[in-house]
Amino acid sequence: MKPSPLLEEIRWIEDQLGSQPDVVAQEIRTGDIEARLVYVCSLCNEKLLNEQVLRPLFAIGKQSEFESYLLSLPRSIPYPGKEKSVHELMYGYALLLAGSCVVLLDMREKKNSAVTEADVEKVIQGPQFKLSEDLETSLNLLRHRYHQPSLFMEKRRIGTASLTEIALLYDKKRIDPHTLELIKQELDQVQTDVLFAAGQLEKLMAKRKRKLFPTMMTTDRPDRVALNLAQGKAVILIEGTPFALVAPTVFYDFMSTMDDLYQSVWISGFLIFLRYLGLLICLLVPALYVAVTAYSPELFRVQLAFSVAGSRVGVPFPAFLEVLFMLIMMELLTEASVRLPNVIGSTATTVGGLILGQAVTQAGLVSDIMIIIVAAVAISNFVIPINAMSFAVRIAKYFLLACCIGYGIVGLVVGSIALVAYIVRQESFGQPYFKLFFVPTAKEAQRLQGGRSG
Amino acid sequence: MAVGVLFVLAGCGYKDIDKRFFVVSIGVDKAVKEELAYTVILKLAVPQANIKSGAEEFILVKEQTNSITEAIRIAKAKVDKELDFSHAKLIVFGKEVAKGDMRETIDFFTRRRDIQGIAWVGVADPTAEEVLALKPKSERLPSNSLFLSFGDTGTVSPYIITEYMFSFRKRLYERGLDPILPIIRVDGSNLFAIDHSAVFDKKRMQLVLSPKETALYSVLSGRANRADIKIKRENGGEFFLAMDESHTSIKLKRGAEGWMRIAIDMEVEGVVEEVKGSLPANELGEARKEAEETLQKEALNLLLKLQKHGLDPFGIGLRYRGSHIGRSDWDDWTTHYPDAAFDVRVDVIIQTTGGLH
Amino acid sequence: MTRYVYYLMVVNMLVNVFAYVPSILIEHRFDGAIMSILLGTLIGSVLLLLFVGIFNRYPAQGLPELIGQSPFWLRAPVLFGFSWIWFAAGAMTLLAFNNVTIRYINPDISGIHMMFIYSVVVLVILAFLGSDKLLMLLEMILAINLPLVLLIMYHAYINKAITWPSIMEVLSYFPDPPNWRAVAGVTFTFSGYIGLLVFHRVINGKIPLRKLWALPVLGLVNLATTFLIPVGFHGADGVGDFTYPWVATADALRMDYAPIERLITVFLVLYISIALVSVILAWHVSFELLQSVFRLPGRSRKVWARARFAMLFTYGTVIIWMENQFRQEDIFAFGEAWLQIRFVAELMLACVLIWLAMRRRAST
Repeated sequence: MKPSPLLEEIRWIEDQLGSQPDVVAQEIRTGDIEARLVYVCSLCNEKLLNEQVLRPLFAIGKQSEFESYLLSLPRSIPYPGKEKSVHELMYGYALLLAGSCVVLLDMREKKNSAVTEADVEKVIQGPQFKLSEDLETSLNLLRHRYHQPSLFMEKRRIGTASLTEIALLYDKKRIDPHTLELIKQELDQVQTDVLFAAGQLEKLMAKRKRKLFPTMMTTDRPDRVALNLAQGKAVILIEGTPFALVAPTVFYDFMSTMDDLYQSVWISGFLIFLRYLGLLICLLVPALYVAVTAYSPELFRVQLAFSVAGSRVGVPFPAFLEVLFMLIMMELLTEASVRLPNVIGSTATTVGGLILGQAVTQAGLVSDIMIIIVAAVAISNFVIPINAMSFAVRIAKYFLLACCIGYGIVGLVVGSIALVAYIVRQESFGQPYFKLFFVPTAKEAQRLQGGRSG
Repeated sequence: MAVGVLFVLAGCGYKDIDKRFFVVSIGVDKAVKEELAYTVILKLAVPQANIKSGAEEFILVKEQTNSITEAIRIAKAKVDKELDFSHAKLIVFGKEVAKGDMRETIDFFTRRRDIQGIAWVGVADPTAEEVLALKPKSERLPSNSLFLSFGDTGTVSPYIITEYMFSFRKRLYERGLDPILPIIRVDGSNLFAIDHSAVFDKKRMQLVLSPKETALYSVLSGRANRADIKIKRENGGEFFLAMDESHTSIKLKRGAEGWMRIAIDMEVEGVVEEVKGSLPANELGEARKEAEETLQKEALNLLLKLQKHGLDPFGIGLRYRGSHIGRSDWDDWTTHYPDAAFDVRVDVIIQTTGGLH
Repeated sequence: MTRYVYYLMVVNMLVNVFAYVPSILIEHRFDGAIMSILLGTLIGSVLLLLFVGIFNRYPAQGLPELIGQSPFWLRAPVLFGFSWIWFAAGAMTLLAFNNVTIRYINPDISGIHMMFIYSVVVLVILAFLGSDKLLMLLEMILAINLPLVLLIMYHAYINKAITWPSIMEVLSYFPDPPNWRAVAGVTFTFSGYIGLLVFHRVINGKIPLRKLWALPVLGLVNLATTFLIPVGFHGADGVGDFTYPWVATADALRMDYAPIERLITVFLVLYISIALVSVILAWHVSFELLQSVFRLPGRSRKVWARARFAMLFTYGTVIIWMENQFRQEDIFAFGEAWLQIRFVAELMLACVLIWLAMRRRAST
């Protein structure tokens, strides 16, 4: 018998896959059915395959009936051609040829769909679980928090090698069409081999690559994502990471936590105030220390100036080196405790923070006041809720420090204005990034109804 | 990067705080040598690694020169660190200097950018050197006890007149408002005594006020509203009235023939603090009247004394200028002030006699 | 967006607390300062209403657009002239605060060096930020500085060292007729509305005229503070001797309990930031007007970018040259001369605007 052209194609596909140990290619004969099944067993749920395909196959045993069964199966999609089918097989589809009918069957199985506790952005009283690494599970979590038919979704694949699946979500009724258009444009121009993380996609989407402050938010909290959808923002979910990208976002979004929504007005107001205070301390205090001790000691009242001068007696370095050393030690400590496993992490902080800090003042290498400053800076940096912003602030403080080393308090003022100008200049998909009031326009007000005006 | 920036900009005035000598107080005395004008004394604080231990250390640098600038230049050559005047919070003039031309002496201090406008000014009796050299036991930082005496955070006393540099300068130039400075003396027992005050005309020290007059001046001018006043009773006893609250208003009245009356209304509320002899409850009314009379008499004496010397630290003349339109008001005032009459009215309210009847 | 008009006005008022206006007013404290303040406020308010009223009719248009259809002989000199007048506004603020910086904050640095830093920062910001972003920057800086302004005002007004009779004495010279120089100075504190020439392009919506009443009041309070507080601190007779009366006044302020005792540094920090922003705004107006003179259709982007760079480079060169040439007295002489020229020029501009508005109305 001469093989049919369809069978030829299947053979071609099998050749493409090669004779890997986890590729299954199998002939099945029962009744008048002559079928051929191809799949990659490490990607598929074989139990499901067995239940939904093989058993009915043997039970029905008739070509025509089985064909109509296959076509009505929700998991089946029509055969898209041989090249595409190879791709789909690599996602966990199974290819079934039964007589003259070819279908692809969704038999994907993901082992990473577990929903675990949110540990990057913590809230005290609020939803406790984060998005999943599995796209479908994350979508499930979101759909259950946002029951709107106007929630639209577009799927794409990004990365020439990894072919990572991403989903762009938005509420059609609330999103600004212009913003959406910009986001789609940016997504279109992304070029990469592999895509694994949200921050990576953000970097790839950005027009100007060398920017310090994040203009898209990375979050793994389903409640924050749902809130942002309600505020008319777009969300990008990425297969393989629990973090979602939110755009457009402004500076204030990075200074807010979900707790602000869940606590009473005064408490959340106080918390927001604390965060901005932390931001200012982290940015300004090291720079101010250098500016005051080296350029303008008249700023402090006399008693305080003498305390500072006294604590610096015998320190062999100029103040700016002292500050730089200690800040860099602190950065190393932070970095070390992130990379180390939890068990060893606490040892690192104890040795670094307590013992080193104590010893370095005892040895007279660094003044006592410096230790207080470094500790204050470190603590206040952790108050900034979104990690990307907290990193940006960590770096920005060195810019101000450099200004102060050169020009004292004048450098601080001019540097701060330059920094503010730099942030003001940023845009996030057509939205101004840094503004004092976000007074909603009539359209925005309608969009923001029910949500916080962020 | 920061280090790179620094190397490019090295020498732009970067000077660490521990490489500076802070001048905490400046004293100006008359030079011992005839041909020179001043002896300038700088009190430099030596930073202590541990302030809590309480050993304060300072260096006195003394120079005899013709000008303050010169003295500072010489002093700079003597010390190993940069002199920093930004914390010079006290400027003391020796009594002899205060009798010279103050406008000239103070010029240096106002012109220089790094000397505080809010430095306290005082007259030292007999010399500034003696005042600056003193090291009271309670001090943790050099000169801190004087800072506390003058500042509002430490002692509050009607005997201590606090005057800032800028205010002293203002009074040296403002027609109708004369300068007054505290006189700082060293008490034998390692303490400062600040209870007299010196009244200046537009140039030099003219009059010394006794502690009692100083306190009264403080109350009348509104600088202090708490003071203790000793009141002698007609029956030979005496009691002390501690003022809690006082309010003074000064009004100017002019008659048709050009004579002038200065009406001073004083309202005092106070507590009886110490009684010698007896003060029964039914005599409280009389005691009140006696207090009013005493205060009235003392205030009038003070005002007349100032008038006699042609001095006006209350700024009555300035009030006159402010309430009269035109350019001739100052001349009017100078012609009429010497024979103006004072009208002092005192209203005393005794709130309580304290814990005893 | 209309709130930005208030910011433009307020920043102009605040920056004048500092250098030229108080000196001029104090110089004339015994001959007509009070009347000049009143008259200047009146003139300033009328001009404000006029400018806002005219610009309200042409939404999202600036002076270059308004004047666009006029013949070249009118358009070019007006735009070019005003561009340089506003360059000079920025320059004189920059010169004064550079002078204060090297005198009071960083005495070890040379004037040219400091000016170089300032002008580079200003020009870079000018090159990268558009009108809308600059307004946001202005709002941000004002918001950050507002607490400092209030702190200083509070400590100035409650201070016991103020001699109110000295202030009364100065006030008692109110019958003296106003003085031309003082009026020119006073009206400058109100001329924040000149910012509309360019910034009106991004201010959408009508500016409600009725709500503008706050500005003259604010201006009057500002002028009273500027003028009378130094008098209260340094005496009616003694106040005239200071180069920068407000620096001396800030030096007389003291906080009892805070870790920072002297308010002068706080004041200088506040002033640098306000002044820097005001220079940026003035030069932005100037820069945009200058560009509109040379903007012709059909120029490529590259050529245009080079032209912009050349303009900014000229600004930088001129200011460095000025800093090199001018001593402290020259700066003050320049500032005063400029204040008077500006006053006349502003009145002329008002006439041009009225004429343009009438012509437009006639043509429609």
